[in-house]
Amino acid sequence: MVNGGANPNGEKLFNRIAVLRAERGLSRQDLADALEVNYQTIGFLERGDYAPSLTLAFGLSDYFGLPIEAIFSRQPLRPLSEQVYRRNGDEK
Amino acid sequence: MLTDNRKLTLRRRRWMVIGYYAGAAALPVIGIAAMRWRFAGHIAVMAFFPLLTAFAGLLGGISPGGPVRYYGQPGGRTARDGFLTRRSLTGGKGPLGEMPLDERDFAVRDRAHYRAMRIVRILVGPYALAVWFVVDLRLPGLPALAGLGAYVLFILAMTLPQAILFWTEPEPGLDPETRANSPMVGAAQ
Repeated sequence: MVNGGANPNGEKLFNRIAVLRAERGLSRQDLADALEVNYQTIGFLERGDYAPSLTLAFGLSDYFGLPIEAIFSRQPLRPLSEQVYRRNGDEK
Repeated sequence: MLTDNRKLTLRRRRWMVIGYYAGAAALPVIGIAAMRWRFAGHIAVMAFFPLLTAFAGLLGGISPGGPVRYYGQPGGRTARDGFLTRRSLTGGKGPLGEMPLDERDFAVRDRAHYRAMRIVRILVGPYALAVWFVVDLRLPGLPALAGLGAYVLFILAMTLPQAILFWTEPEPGLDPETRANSPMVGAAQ
């Protein structure tokens, strides 16, 4: 599930927070508690209805142990599985 | 418990706003009728102001930070919620100690204030000009009209941000885990 939303400047920002959260078996409340935001905010982030601040984006990056560009993108994000298998195929 | 997510759907919030402003329109009519019927004089006028302030507070007007949010934390309210907080249509401050505003809440709140300010400033300018120009005409009924205008501006200035927040905020949308663990959130999503 890859979602995109607009930041205050009207630029689209896509993310894969929902996928990463689901992979780790976390509820929105769990993630919200870890990031010290309200659980509603996680929902808005996942749906792309809210573009986070840099602080929150770095918080997500630290929490998932991934670079920010793996979580957020200004281009639509390809499914993770597709990226992983394509990379494996390239290496062969 | 009006901050229950099951109850505060977008539709319900909008009806709440409509009902509130219908009540706000009825309040001066009731007040004037009461004064003409029985309660006259300065004491009646003095008694009106606390009533008016409490009424404005129903829509988040007198919470220190102004309007905040319309939803409550799963798990419900705390014993620290005060009298007006419990009775506020908005939930007032809410259990701030346990659920402080985050960056999105601040952004939503500030945007609502900004939109309200744009509306109120359009009304304040003409109102001030009208009072300024006609105050020397000493027309009968003018003080009452000026008072009514001030009342409308007071109510709007105090409540419009929260009303905008009620009117525009989308449904929160919760994931199944949060829904299952919350006594406040039912299956109505």
